[in-house]
Parts: sequence; structure tokens; C-alpha cells
Amino acid sequence: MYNKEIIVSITKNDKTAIKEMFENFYGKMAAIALRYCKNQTQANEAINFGFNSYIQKLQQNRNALTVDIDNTFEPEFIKACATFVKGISSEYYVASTVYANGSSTKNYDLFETNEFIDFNAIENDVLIKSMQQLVPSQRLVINLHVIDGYALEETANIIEASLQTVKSSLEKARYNLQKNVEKCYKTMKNEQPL
Amino acid sequence: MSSHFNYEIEERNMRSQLKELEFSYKEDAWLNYEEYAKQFQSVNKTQLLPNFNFALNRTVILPVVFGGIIILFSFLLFNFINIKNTNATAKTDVTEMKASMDVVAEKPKPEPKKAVVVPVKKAETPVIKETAILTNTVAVLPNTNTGNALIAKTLPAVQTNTAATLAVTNPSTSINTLGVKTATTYTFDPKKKRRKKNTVEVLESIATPISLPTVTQEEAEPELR
Repeated sequence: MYNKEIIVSITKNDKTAIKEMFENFYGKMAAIALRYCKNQTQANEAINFGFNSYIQKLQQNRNALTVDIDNTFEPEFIKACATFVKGISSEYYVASTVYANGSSTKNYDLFETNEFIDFNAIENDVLIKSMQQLVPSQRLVINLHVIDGYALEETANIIEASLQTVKSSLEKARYNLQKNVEKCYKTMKNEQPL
Repeated sequence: MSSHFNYEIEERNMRSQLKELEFSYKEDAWLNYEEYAKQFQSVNKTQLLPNFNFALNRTVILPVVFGGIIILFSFLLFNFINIKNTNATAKTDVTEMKASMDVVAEKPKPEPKKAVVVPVKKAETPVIKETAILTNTVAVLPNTNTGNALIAKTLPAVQTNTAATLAVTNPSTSINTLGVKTATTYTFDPKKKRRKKNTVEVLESIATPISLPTVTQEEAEPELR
């Protein structure tokens, strides 16, 4: 719980208070940023962007003393992450990506393809990696709606898209996520030493 | 997406799994953030200062120029046109005139100026003033040429001797061919300033000669051939 003295020192741009707040929220911020971004580097940028935007909002707020930082930080940071990802227009507005270097040879091994994957016990690394491989628009929709619990309308408002677009993106995202999980699971399993 | 696709991911488990996920704090992350925040702090400091950026382009200059022209033209018209009500001004003029008339009536009439009369004397004999240091006299001297009188005007000069020496003839002034002896004399008072404009000049009346040379029949003009 942040008392008024800490909030006042944050609004006065006191570095020790800001650092203390950064330390407290870093674990959560890093987890959120990793699943919203495509890699670790972009996640670090998203952490900086999201935290800085929250501090600036707090400093500009006239009623900053009444702000409940513990409850307001996470939603604000999620929205900032979504804005950050959407802001990378060179990646976000690519509708479909065709990978030219994909394997053209089909695998006819029925036992390998029918390998059972327990989706309820997927490791965090596999899950995050499979989410990072999604297209940004689909990644945003599945993060906002499925994981962070926003309604479809709210999601549409955050990413500034129509409801139909969000529904379409969600459907594609689910399909792609499962495929990515399968792929990542196999690669991770193959990489593991015997 | 194929119709044979079965979505098998349990979203509740995935949500709880990712929600509970947290990473440990790294000092590098804070240093990275400090560098990032410095850029915004410098930007904010510069934004505190007033930043005046006037984009002087066509959309700004043209309205300003036209506005200036309209204001100048209206000012010009205002100088020529009297917007004030003329009836009101006339009334005020009448009242002002009455007031001024009253004031004038109250004022005492100024004393009439005394007319300065310059004495003009017809002197047949030269007038001489002995006491005057400087005198200006006009004397009529008997003209020796063809029996005509010569009217001479004496030049101003310092005179200390007798009256006989005072008269200096100036033959170029006037010539009377008929012997009229009437002449004007000007007296000069040294105490008073000379008033050239007030002096009265009396022009001599010249009688027409009896025997004028006329063209007679005897002196007929020669015919030009």
C-alpha cells in the first residue's frame, strides 16, 4: 500500500520513490510485457514506456493523493502495452505474413502427428513463446480478452478496431496459438537432452 | 481454418498460469528505465519555456494584409465622412454663439483710435526748419529751363547750415513743362517713425497743352509706292 508521502514524492519526481515503485511492480510488468511483445528487447521497451506513462499520469493528476496505485497500476500498464504494440505500425499493420522459408515437405508419420499434448499442463516458456509468435493484432486480442479478462467491446475500444474485427482476430488467434503451442512443444521437447 | 480443428487449450488454466507469472527484479532494468526517462525529462524541461512558433505562410499573411487594407480604407473614409448629427451640432453652435455674443456685449467698447493726419501743406516757398537735425523738405525752385517750374525733392541729409544751402535739386524727379508752380511739401517729424504707407501722395494735375502737334492736311503722309 502506497501512503500519501510516497505518492507526493513520486509526483515531485523523487528518484528513490520511483525506483521503489519500479522494483515493486517490475515482476508483474515483465510478465505482462513479455506476452504482449514479440521478444525480450521489445518487452523491455514496453516496460519503460508503460511505467513512464503511468508516472507521468500520476504527476499530472491533480487528485494524485487519492489514487490507489496497487489497483490502478496493472490495468493502466496493460493499456500502455497495447498502445505500445499498436504504435509499432510497421509490424501491426501487416495483415498476413507468408513465410517463404517454410518446409514444403509433408510429414506422413501418423504417430508423430498424433502425439498427445496435454494443453492443461503447458509450461510457461512454451506458452509465452507461442504467444509471441502470433501476429500483433491477434496477440493483442487474445491477451486483452482471454488473459486479462476485458470484454470484446472494451478490447475493441483499446485497440481502436471494430467488434467484428476483434471477433475475427480472436478466432484466428486461438487457432494460431494452438498450432504455435504444438510447434513449440515439439521443438522444446526435441531440444531437451536425453 | 479447417472445420476439423478442435480448440483444446483450456483458457482458464492458461489465464491463471500467465496471471500468476512474475519475474525477479533486475538492476539493469532500472538503469535502462533511467536512461529512457532522462529523454522525457529533458523534453519536459524544454516545454516549460514558452515556445512560440509562428508559421508565416500564405494562410496567415494574406488575411493580415487584407485586414490591414480594410482598416486603412475605413480610416480614410472616416476622415472624410462626418458621422455626427448635424442638427445637434447646429444647436450647439447657436448656443455657443449666444454665449459669445453676451460676452462681447459685456465687454467695454474700445476707444476709437485717433486718426493720424499727416499734414500736407502746399508750400509755395521752401520750408526750412532750423532746429531739426534731420529734415526732409521739398522745395519748389524756379526752373530756369523754358520757363517751367522744376519740382525737386530734397534728399535727406544732415543740415547744419542755413536754409539756403538745404535745398538740393534733383532734376530727375519731375519736370513740369507748363510752368505750374503748385507743389507739395512734406514735413518730417523726427520724433515719429516714418510711415511710408500713410503718406498721402498728391499727384499733379497736368493740363493738356494747347498746341499739340496734330496731323493736318498740310502735312499729308507721303504715299508709299
